[in-house]
Amino acid sequence: MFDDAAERSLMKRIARGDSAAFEALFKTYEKAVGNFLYRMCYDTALAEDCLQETFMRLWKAAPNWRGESKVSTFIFQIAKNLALDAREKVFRERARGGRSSDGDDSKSGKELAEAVDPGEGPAHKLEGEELRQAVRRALESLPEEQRVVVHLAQSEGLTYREVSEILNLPVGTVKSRMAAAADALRRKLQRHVKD
Amino acid sequence: MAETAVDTAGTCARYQEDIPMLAVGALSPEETEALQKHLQSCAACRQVYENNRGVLELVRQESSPSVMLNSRRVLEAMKKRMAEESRSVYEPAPALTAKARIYWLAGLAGVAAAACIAIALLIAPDDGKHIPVIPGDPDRIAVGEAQPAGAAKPRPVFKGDRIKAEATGARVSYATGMDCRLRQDAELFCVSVSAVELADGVSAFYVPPGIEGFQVRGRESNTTASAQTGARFMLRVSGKNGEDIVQVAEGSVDVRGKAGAAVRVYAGSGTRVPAAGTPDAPEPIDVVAEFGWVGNQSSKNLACEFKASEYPTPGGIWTGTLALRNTGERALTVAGYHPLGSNYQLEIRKEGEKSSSFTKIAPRQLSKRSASGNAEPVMETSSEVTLEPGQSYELEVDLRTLVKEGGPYTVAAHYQVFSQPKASGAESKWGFALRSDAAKVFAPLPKPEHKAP
Ligand SMILES: [Zn+2]
Repeated sequence: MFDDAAERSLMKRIARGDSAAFEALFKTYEKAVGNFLYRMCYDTALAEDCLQETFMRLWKAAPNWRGESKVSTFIFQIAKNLALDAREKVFRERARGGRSSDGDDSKSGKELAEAVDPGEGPAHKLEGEELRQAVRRALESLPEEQRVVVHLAQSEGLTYREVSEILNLPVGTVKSRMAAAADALRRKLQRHVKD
Repeated sequence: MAETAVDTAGTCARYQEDIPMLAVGALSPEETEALQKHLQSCAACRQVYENNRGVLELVRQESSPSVMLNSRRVLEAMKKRMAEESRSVYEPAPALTAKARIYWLAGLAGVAAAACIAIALLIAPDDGKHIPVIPGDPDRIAVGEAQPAGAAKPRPVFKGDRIKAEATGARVSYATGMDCRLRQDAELFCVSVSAVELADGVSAFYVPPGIEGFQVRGRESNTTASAQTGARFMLRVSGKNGEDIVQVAEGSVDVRGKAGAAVRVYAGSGTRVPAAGTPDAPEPIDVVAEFGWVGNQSSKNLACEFKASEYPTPGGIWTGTLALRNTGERALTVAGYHPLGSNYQLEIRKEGEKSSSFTKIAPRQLSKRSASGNAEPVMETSSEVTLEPGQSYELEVDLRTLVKEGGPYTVAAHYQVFSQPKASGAESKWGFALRSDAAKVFAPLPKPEHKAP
């Protein structure tokens, strides 16, 4: 859980241009937001760019921030928008035959989704990189609206209520998307789960 | 999801809905505790949980970065950018302490009737520089939020979003304070934090002080309206071959058509823009009527209020109080020729009737309550009034002089100031219109000497 009251006072200081407060808020969120961004794009360099952009925008928007949502909601909203945009950009570049960004993971975004999905089959345990790729393929095969819910819900410190605020969706919709995603992931990955 | 064997009260279904959220740690501590307690006693739900937990744990582990993001590098890059980018833009506005002065200067020469006083409004040099703050790159940051009429919650609006107002209209509020109203069936596109395109219908905009360069374009037409800071204006588009209309309630707007130079349209006037050509010369408009659907607010921190006295004795005096209130945080000095009386008109509608009548109020119908509580006639002289924050300047009007018959009425007061083009040909420059909330009042019999308005 994030401490909203403390973060609000940081936001006030940031609005006045206090860079120490900015750094403190960044330190609070770097891990949770960084992991979320990474999962959204599977590309370390791209995730770092998005993380940087998220907080630059927060810095710029702070003087106008009206404090109607929690600080964490505000930050994740920016991060989510940037991540979705970055994905779109990667897809477009790929469509034009361009190179993906220089990440540590050669396979990102659409490529994973398009890779051959072994589908349901006899139980067989994957290890290491193979397992990692299978999980990512399963995630990438989810509709975007479900994938965003999964990645936000498993972000450290966020409850499904906050996820619903970040996505501006009713709580019931967030729960049903999560349930649908869990069902799909189970169908694809159950056989890789260690007993 | 698996069926539960024992589910007497349907509670298992509810718990099972939450199980994936528990598995990823997205329940509140209270919900987590309640669900865990249930799992201890319910084998069916426990099974569902086990099924979800394994997979979702796998997902969490295997989708994490293999190497942590280098947040130190990110922070260093940000510090560099923060140092490079102009700090001044992000400096907070200085404290607003000095007294703002608003002068209403009368064009005294040639004023015959009180109803057509030429007035100019000047704002004295502002106290200190108020620096607007606009998010640098609005790309994919919500430029604002839209609230369809009747909707409980606004939704964020992004660059590129299309907003279509249904039958009830819609409102887009920008983080910068920009306000945009869509009349029913209007359709617009948010191009950026400072530009929109109107595809259809009528939309009204308010550009708060400090916001520069806001632009509205016709999506299908060649009309471009560039607002000066502080402008309140409206664009009506009518497709590829139609004539667009720009009307200005406050401030000024530069209007461009397909060809020719821009025409500056000032408060209280409007222009037509033919599909292929230059905008017509601006003409006066009825601001209150045209902007009535928006609500006739003003950015001048002034509000117009109307109160009617309770229905007293039959045939007794029926008084309305007209008030101009300083709603800001600074004192306002209002100066000019008979500043506060002749700019009022009343919008009066008898219950059961569809349309309202608009009645100008002449100074002789007004009185001012003195400190001792006596009603004194309003003098048509030059005067100056300072309104402290929250303070209002009140005038009383005998409403019996305004109605033909007794009965229930709905009354709203309008206050508008627009400088008319002077004989010298000087341009109309300043103005604004205010409208009070409507009040329901019951009129006693009209005053015997009443003449129909
Ligand atoms: Zn149960």
